[in-house]
Amino acid sequence: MPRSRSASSNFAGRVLALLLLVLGAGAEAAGIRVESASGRMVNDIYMADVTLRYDFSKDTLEALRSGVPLTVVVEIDVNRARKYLWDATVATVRQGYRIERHALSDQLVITNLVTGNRKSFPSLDSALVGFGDIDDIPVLERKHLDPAERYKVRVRARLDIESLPAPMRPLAYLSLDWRLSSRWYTWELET
Amino acid sequence: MTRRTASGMLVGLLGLSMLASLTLMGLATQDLVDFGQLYSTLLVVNSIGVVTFVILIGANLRTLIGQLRRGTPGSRLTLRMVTLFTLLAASPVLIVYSFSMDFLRRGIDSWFDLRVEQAINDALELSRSALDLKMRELLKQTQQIAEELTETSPPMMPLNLEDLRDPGSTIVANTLDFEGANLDELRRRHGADELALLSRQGGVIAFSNAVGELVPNLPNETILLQLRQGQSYIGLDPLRDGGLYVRVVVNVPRPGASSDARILQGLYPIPARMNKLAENVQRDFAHYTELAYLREQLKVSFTMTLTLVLLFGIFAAVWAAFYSARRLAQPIRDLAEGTRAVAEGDYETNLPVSSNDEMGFLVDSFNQMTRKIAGARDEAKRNRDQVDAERAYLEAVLGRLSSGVLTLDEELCIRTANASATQILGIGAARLDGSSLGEVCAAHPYLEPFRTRILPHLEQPGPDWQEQVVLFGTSGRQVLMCRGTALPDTPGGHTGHVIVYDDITALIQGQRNAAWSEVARRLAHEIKNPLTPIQLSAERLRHKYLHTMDPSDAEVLDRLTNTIVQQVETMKSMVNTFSEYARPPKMQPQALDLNRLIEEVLDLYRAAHPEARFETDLAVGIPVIEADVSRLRQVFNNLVKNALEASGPDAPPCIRVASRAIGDSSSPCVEIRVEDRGQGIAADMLEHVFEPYVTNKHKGTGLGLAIVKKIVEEHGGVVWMENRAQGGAAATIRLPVTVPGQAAESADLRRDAVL
Repeated sequence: MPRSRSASSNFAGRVLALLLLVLGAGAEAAGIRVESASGRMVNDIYMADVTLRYDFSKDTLEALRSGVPLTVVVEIDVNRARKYLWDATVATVRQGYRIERHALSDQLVITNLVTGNRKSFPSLDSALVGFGDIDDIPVLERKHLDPAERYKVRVRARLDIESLPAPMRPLAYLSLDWRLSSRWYTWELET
Repeated sequence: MTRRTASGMLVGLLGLSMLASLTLMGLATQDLVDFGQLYSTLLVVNSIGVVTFVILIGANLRTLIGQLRRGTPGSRLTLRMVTLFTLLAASPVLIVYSFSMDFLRRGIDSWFDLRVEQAINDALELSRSALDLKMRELLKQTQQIAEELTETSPPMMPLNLEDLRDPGSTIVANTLDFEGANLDELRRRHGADELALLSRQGGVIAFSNAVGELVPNLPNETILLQLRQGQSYIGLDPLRDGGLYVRVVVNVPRPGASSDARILQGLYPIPARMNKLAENVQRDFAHYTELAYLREQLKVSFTMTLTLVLLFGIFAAVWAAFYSARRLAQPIRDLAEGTRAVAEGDYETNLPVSSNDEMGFLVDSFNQMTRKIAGARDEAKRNRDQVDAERAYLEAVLGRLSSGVLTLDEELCIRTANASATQILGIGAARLDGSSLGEVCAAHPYLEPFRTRILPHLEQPGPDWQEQVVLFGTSGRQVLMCRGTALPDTPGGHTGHVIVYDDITALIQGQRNAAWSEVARRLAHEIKNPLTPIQLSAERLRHKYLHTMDPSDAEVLDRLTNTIVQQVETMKSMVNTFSEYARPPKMQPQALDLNRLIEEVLDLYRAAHPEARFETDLAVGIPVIEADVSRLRQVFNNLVKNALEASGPDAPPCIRVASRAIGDSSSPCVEIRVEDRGQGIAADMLEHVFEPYVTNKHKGTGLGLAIVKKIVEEHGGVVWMENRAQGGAAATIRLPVTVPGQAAESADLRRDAVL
């Protein structure tokens, strides 16, 4: 079973986030939204296309302008529905994208952290549009799917606080402006 | 390993872990790559560590407060030591902290100097200017290529980019040959990394790539828009591992109206040296701007780390203060508890010696002390037990002693008196301890002679003394033989006297009885022998000469011989009585109901003396005793007869006989009292009434009461005669209730003793 190529995730970060979640701070951040997502089979590989919309907070954009790279992690889970038990996770993909300002060229550079591919954008708006259209994320091979079963794919994107410079992290965990995460977007996997 | 040591080691380990964690966190704060990832974890771990220390200290504090409230030994010392340690540890740390914070803020602020910022900006600007020159050249160069392409441009359908992206596509992307012109060749000639001929919509018509990539690096929509507006694009693009490229996109002039508009994109690498320098400038600029942005957060972060270190330092010091104070105070607490235990009489306390220092020496000394005290206590207890045993032995001996033993202190108060002492003096079972001799004599006036006779010896202590004292008590005359001596000085300086006395009345009486028995026996023996020849001689004399004599002489002879014979008979009878007194028949004891016996005896007398009045007061249920019936019958006969004879001629005799059970369960006995209402007994005779031949009557042998006394004593009893206050005399007999089987044996023994 293909198991995730995952971006760095930190246990302590999760603990802190969970703590804040329990404390009742708004878990839903309006900053990132999955506008649409779909999948298709290409040469027996299930590929996902996701369109994200970013509404970064003022603090976040200020940090980006000041040269702090931001990392967005796109999480895709494929779950097999079960009748009496909770859904079984068949595949999990974690794909990170980093956006940073390149001062010399005055460009915003988006890097796919898995492939290392970079794209440059002259303005923030164009960058955010380019940053949002994520196509062809390979999720899993067909051989791992049973035609008799029903599968659901879900996706969400979040700002990875653990990728921020260390001094920023404690405050980022405590601030709603930084805890940006979309809701899960779910669709049926059609083999 | 004790629990405390184990917990100490555990906390020590926690402290070391925290120290390591704080060190890592310090490194992470500086954003070193390896530790930067751990920053949040370390923050949480260290916060938990600090909280753990707070909890530990809280628990210790709570225990200490509890101990202070209870006044546990050593708690005040612990408090003082903890306070002292904490102050000593916290003061310098706080001073260092405050200075460090100041330095930290100043240090971080000093990074951001306006001149440095200007320099960095200038460096960036300079780099851009340097690159601008190069870029303009490359624009011209690309425009030249475009023109070259215009001249040889064939009509060609653009490739669908999506098809190129598709790994399954069979389209070969490097079909680069044009009529008369080769894109690849152009690229090499102009030093480009990539040349791509595109349609206006971004479709790839042809491209040449130096690194052999399948897909050209396409311009984005913004650039295409700019191109569509007829402008060229030139810009720096950080591609492929951060290397800088110059992207030039120009419109390819259209040779004719019919041909499609095309655009040419060239990607040119920056020379390596320039690229390296530009990269450095970019990196440092980015780092500087990031640091400037993070300025406050860095301060917070460093402050947080430093504060955590401070808290850890202080809390660890406070905990260490608690730990060491407890360790130091523990022996003191042990000593205090041990001392308390010793004060409460527990000498078995043995404290653990935990160290080799002075405290250990003190604890060791304490242990030695308690051991010695315990030894001394055990020795004292042994001695006391020995003394108690000796005292009990002495008391047992004294208690069973027939002699009375009195000890008096210097104030003549009675310190001890054994059972016989009170019994002999006839003062019952009254406790004499503590009462003075004078008080006892005042309560019992008949004891006055006793005091009078011994007082001179007590007041002038000398060597052992001996004194015979005669008392006239309720039981008649008593002769006491007293011996005394001064007691040796006791440690308290008290002196005293010990008086030992025996009731020798019975002894004297016994001696007297024995003498009388001997007299009687000899008399019987000596007198009885000649009596028969005298009688025979008198009878023969009478028989031989009576009928030979004249009647007047014969009458005289007859009278004289008759007198001789009668007197001899009388003498024989007397001798027999003596003999009986001296040698009574063997005792034949059997179970006997005394009341019945008394009634039988009284019935005989009632018949013989109808004028006399006989009263009885016989207690119902008195114990059955073992006695010789015939001999006791004789006792009662003698007593009743004696009472009848003692009654005067003026009034009819009145005899009262009473019986009752007395004594306790250990020595039960039966008392019979025979009273008359006669003249009583003269005081000088009272002590001799039971002796033979003591009588105030004209008739009788004088042996009646002597025989009574003898028989009663043979039965282990006592008898005494006393004058009644209402007039008349009373004879009292006390007979022991004996167990069947023992009676005959003991009676024989007593009889032998009496004889």
